[in-house]
Amino acid sequence: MPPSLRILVVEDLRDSADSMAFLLKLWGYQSAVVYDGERALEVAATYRPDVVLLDIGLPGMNGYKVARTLRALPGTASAFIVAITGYGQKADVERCKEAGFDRHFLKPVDPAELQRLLANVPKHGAEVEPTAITN
Amino acid sequence: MAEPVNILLIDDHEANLLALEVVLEPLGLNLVKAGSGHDALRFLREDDFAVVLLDVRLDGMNGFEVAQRIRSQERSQHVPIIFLTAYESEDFPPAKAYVLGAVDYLVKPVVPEILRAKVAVFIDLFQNARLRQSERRLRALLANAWDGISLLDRDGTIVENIPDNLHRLGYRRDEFVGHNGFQFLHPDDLSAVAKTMGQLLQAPGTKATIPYRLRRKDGSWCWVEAIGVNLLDDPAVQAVVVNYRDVSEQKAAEQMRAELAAIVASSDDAIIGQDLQGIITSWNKGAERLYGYTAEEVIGKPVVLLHPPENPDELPNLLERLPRGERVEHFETVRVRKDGSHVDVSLSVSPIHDGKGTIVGAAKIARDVGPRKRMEEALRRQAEELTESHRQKDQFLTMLAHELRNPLAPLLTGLHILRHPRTTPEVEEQIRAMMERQVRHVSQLVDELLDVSRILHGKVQLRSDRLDLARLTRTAAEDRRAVLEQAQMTLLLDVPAIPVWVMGDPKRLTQVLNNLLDNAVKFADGGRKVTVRVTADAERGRAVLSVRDDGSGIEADLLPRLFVPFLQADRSLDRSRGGLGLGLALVKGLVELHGGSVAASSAGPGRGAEFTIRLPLEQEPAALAEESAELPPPKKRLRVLVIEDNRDAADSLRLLLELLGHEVRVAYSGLEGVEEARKWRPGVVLCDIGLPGLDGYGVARELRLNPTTSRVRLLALTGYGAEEDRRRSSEAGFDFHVVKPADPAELSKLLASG
Repeated sequence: MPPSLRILVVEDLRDSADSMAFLLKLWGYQSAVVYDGERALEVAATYRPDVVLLDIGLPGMNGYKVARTLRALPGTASAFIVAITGYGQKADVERCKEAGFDRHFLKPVDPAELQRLLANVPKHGAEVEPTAITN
Repeated sequence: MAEPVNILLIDDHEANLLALEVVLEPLGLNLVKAGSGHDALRFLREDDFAVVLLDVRLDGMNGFEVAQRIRSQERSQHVPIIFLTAYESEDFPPAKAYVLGAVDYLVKPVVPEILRAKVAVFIDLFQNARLRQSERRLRALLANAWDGISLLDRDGTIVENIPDNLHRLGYRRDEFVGHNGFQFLHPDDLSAVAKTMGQLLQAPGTKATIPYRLRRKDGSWCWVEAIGVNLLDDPAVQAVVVNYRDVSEQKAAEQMRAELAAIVASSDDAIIGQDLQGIITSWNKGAERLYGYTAEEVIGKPVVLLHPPENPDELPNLLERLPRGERVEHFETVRVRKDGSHVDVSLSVSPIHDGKGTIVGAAKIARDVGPRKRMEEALRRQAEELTESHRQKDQFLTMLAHELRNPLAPLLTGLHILRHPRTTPEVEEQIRAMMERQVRHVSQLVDELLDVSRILHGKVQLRSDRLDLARLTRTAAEDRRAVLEQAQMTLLLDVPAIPVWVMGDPKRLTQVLNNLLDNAVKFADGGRKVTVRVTADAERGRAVLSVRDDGSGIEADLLPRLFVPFLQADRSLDRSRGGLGLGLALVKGLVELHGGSVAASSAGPGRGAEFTIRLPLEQEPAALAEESAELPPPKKRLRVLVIEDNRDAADSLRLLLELLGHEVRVAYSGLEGVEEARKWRPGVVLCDIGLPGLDGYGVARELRLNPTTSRVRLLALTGYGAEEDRRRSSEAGFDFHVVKPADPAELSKLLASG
């Protein structure tokens, strides 16, 4: 039984978001879904996710901004933030790094790879010092 | 004329001298009296004498002694001495006198006539000798002079040529002297010289000046300046004297100067001369054209007149470098014309030297580089546009990749969910429905994308027909009413009851309207009203269809980019409702294929938006029916367009058709023909197949594709008549195939028929 990571899915296309959340549940993780950036920040404050699967192309506040804000907030500063995006150019990957993402996935995400990744993410509790994770 | 001739009379008795004077006076000579031998010798040293009359018996020196002394003086060595003696004596034998160089020995008293006669002889001799000496001196001078002198007789024969400078012309004396002077003249100068000669012959003693060319022995021409004097009546000369000077060097210099002046005058470039003080000294036509000032207006004025006031410091630099002999090449700067406008020029400046090598001024050549600069500017702009175009294409592809990835994600996720053992049948069903939805969405995206792509590449064929835009709009809008009402919106239709005719593909025009209506719903953002209006602007020949909403509006800086694929107001919003951001690109492409235009306007965010489509208005069906009459009478006046690159063939076809009573226009190339057909809308097009560039088949395709011309009657004109070619032409869209040369009767029938 894998540790019960809390995963926040942030994606504006509902079918994508909902199916992803369902798959995560099937894998035994806890998951929450939001469809835009502002909601993500609201929810993250109380949900305190271990992992955030964050789409870049969101309406309103984009994924880069959300990531930077999450990094700045004590509750989520040490979360494992994964960019899920349709942009795969070198410049986009660079931008993700600069915004504070831990990983960058190009859509469509291969579920097997995602599973492997999640298996290796440490669960963070209150005792772990919030530090920004850099690659 | 001649100088007075001197005679020396030596006698110590004054009375004798007087007596001699009296005797000799009639001869008109200069009689010099010497009273002694000493005086005589002195006189003889100082002057030339024709003859000396010497008394033998003198006081002091006797006559013979005096004679000896005379002989020993250089100047008087050879002067004739006539001894005069009162009597013969053995002291003064005549023999001795002769030995001493006397030429005569006369005994006094002398017979006056005899003395005068003898003296006259010596005068003559003396004068002749003096003349010959003069001649010799003259010859010596002339032999070394540049000038030549020819003596001509009345008919132009050269009787003498002084000096022997003929070697400069290359002739031997016998090749020149004795020949007629006219044969050495240049044919073009003959008549002028003959005329001048004639004038001289009529006016003795007058002078005339004339330039002409003499032929050198080697055949080349030598320019001379000649002064002629008619001295035929002068016994000493008896000729027309022509003094001529070789001016070939001057002429060559003049010619070169004239050539240079012509080059300067005809040069397109502005060539300006200035002195060291910067004053304009010369100004050619090129300068007049470039700067607008005439030569009179600027010569004498300072050249700074041309300099823009904001850049005066160029000048001192230039004036400094000139005296140092430096040249300036292709210096780009700005000058001011007479009318005040600025002109970009490229200057080359070089120093002007005088004969001694001193710099006295500067020559400036100015060339208008405005056109070159403009071309450079245009090229730069083109390069920028190309780069921008590349960038846009790159961006398009990136967006495309991005947009297609999105639906794939839930599909992949869904597959994994279906595979998972813990998935329940209910979930399976839900997932399957979701996947179906996504697959349909992807297909729709792909279709839209392909559609736009085809439209942008001109690969869409419209099935155009004459249709009533009012009716189409009403129908399409009504079909969409349900969708609008579902979104809590009201649809208002402002469409006329009378038809508004356009040429169009009904399916595509409906697609356009649907797109606009869908957008109005997508971007309603709380707005409620959508108004669809159709009007006919007969004056401008346009049908106008507009869709206005009171929704979220469009920011001003987004308006220009609205119709670019993927780039629109709020991409993600559109995407979340399943769009690719291609709707407006599709609208624009389709409308333009119909020969129309689309524009968007908005008062700003939150203030709604209006999309306006303009299409060409079609003629009234009644008029059309008249033109493409199915029923005879055969002499129905048609608009016929002839497309034929062979001008003669084209023009003769035109004549023929005009004779048949039709209105004809001609295009000499495929492209021109297509263009003309679009503008002029002929009823019939006669098109040659074998056109260079866009050939007849190409023309047919173009005409059939475009709704404004797709219904025109197309006749192929060709030299080939084989079945294969008939098939090809009908495949390309031709209605008929006529083999050249077209039979007038057949043509007339084809045109008259339906």
